Amino acid sequence: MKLKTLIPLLGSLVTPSFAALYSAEHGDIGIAYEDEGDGAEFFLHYHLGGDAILNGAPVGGGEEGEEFEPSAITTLVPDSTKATMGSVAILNSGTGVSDGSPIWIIPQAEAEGVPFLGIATEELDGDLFPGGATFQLMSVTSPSGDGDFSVWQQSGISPPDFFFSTNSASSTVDNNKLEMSAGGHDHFNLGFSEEGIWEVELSVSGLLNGTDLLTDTETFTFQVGSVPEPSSALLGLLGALSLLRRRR
Amino acid sequence: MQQICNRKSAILSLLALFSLPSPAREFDLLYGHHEIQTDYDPVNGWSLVVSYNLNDDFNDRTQIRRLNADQTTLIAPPHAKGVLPNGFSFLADPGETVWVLPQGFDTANHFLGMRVIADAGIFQSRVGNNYSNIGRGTISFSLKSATGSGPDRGGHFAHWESLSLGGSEVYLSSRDGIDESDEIPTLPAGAHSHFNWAFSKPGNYFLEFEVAGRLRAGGTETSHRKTFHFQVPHSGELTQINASLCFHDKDWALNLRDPENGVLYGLRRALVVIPDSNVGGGFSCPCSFDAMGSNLPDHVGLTATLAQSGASSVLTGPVSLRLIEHIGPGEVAFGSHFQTADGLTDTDLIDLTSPTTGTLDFTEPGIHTLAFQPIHSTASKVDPLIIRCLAGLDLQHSFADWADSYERAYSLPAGSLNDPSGDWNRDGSNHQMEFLLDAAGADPVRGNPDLPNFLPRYNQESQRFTFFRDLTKDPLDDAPPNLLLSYSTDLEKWKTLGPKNRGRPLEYAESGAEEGNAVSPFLRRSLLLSPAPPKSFFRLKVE
Repeated sequence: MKLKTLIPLLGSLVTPSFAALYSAEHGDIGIAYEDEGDGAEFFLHYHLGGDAILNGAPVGGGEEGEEFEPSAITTLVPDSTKATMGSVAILNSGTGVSDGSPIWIIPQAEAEGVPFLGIATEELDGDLFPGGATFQLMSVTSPSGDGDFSVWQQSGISPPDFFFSTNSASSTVDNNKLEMSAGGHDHFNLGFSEEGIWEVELSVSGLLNGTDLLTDTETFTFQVGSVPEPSSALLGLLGALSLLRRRR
Repeated sequence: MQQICNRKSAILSLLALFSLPSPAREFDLLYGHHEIQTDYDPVNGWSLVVSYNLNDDFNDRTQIRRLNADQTTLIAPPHAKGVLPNGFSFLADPGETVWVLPQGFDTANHFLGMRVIADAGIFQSRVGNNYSNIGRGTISFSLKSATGSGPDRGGHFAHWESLSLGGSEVYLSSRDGIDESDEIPTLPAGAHSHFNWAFSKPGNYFLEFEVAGRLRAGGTETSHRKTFHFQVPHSGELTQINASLCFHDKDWALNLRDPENGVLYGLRRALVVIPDSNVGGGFSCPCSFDAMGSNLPDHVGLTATLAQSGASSVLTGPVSLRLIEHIGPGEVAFGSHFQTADGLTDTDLIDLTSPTTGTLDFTEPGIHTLAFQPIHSTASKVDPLIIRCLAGLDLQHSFADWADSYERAYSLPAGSLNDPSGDWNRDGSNHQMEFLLDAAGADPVRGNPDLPNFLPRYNQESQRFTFFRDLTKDPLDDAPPNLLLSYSTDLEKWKTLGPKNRGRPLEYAESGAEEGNAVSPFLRRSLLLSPAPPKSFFRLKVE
């Protein structure tokens, strides 16, 4: 079954308002177990390194950088990441992109001028979460309503492992789920089959002390390809961004 | 030292009563997230180390812990081993066995990154062979040499990046020689990236790397070299017995040669795998014994001196080897030299005045342990010298195969040992644990023999808790059974080490306790605790 939403997102070629544009350097989609006043719970968030570029300038915050609510950030997938898909059955199936068609990729390896976006469980204690955490792809809204999103990894001498695929869940390692042990951090390829604004809903779950189920679900926004830059008026509104930063 | 056995949970626990200073630490690591790290600052200059982050937060430079490259060995674990497909000719030919520490995370493998700890603005940024003062600045990382027993037997090293849509960006490869092209031209200041590291033959690889950069202050070129040690285990699998009796300083050893692969195995570090015989039934393999020592380049689980000191060379007078015990189903015979069918006596021996060759024959399939006693006029009491064979089984034999073999060996009713959680001999270790410790000498029927170098012990001499891993039965992945190591300072809270909680070398971690200059899947391990607490309790458990 395809996960992607079939209804086109109205105004999808406009940068979402108020969100800051993350355009380069290292950052993670992270999961933390923290008490922010309502008791300890799971928090799915962005953790951007101090060098990460947000609205054209480094995030700052020293070595540790800053954390943000997912709704505060739009991640840029610049046009420089556009590639042409070849004829490789496992890649065609997993990405939903056919031979000769374009694909935009946030790469698993660091590249200049491109977000180096990982997925991290490094804030989870292995003693508290002996089974680690499981990320699950819940839904994807593509610009046309018919685009495909995928997450995969090329490593060693093995064929690519797909973890998320809107085109073919059966092509993934565990039906659109990604298990990671606590204290982990890894990088993947994030593939988008068309330009525009994408919304990717992710859920994460884990068993506290191996027994108590904790979950959190958030939507992550991506700006893919040649989308108009946000206007200066919109950028002016980004002063509200500090309100969206997470406490550490 | 006091030994505690918890019978209900089949856990071995040991107590060290005193806090003792940590011995000089050397690390050999089988898995975990570590980095080949370059440090540079204008005051202290360069440093190349193996590192990890104490809090696993790689944005946090303050939590980095560094291991001296000279004292650190990275061992390829079982999950590193694979058969090379097409498209990797920079490493080996398709179909060859290779060992890969992959770019992506695998619980049961190394996750070896590259990290550059240098402030932005120190180095110029390189594009091609041009330099500028824009950006954070970059350094280069190049391979200068690859030496050791791995390259000596034709092994190659390669280092590459897997590309998003397939293919490889090869940076370092020894297969076509090592020259200026074996370089990562630009690693940015602050970089933390992952690559594939691969090897094409077992043995030792000493890789000399150079980091270099052009300083913005004065445009000066600066560089630094360091050698890192990687080790690819030998198979630990033999198809014939080529045994060498050695003696040095009261120590005896019955070592097994693998001349084709240039390796000598010490006690319990290899198994002889014997297929069904095509002639006359039973299980037979070529077999030879001598007392001449060996000069093979790699020796597993024993020192070079003991490997080379053939008993007939260093002792005067005749030397022989007597079979004192066979643990296994059915009977065993080595020509007229020994036969178990009529019972073992003083006459079941091999005269090693000259090499003796023949055929070793087992009548039944299963796990066979042969225990020998060296006979010499000056010989003092010595632990039995062991050769272990698998007749009709392979290294990956199952728990059911193990249970069946010991049931037949001890004439127990079928099914006596087939419950993994059972404990037939009530020694506190369940059958699953004894299956995992079979290579160490655990006996599910009789009480375990006194084998302090193999069965779990707190070792006063080394001041470490030591045990013996069989990576053919537990390849360190999530699939049970897993042999897990844990410790406590109060018998209430236990810290467990395993594939999902790998510990940290400078705090608590599993490391090596092997002798020799090479390893096999059967290897002696230890727990490092630093600083050593006033008292500690240790245990192994199976999950």
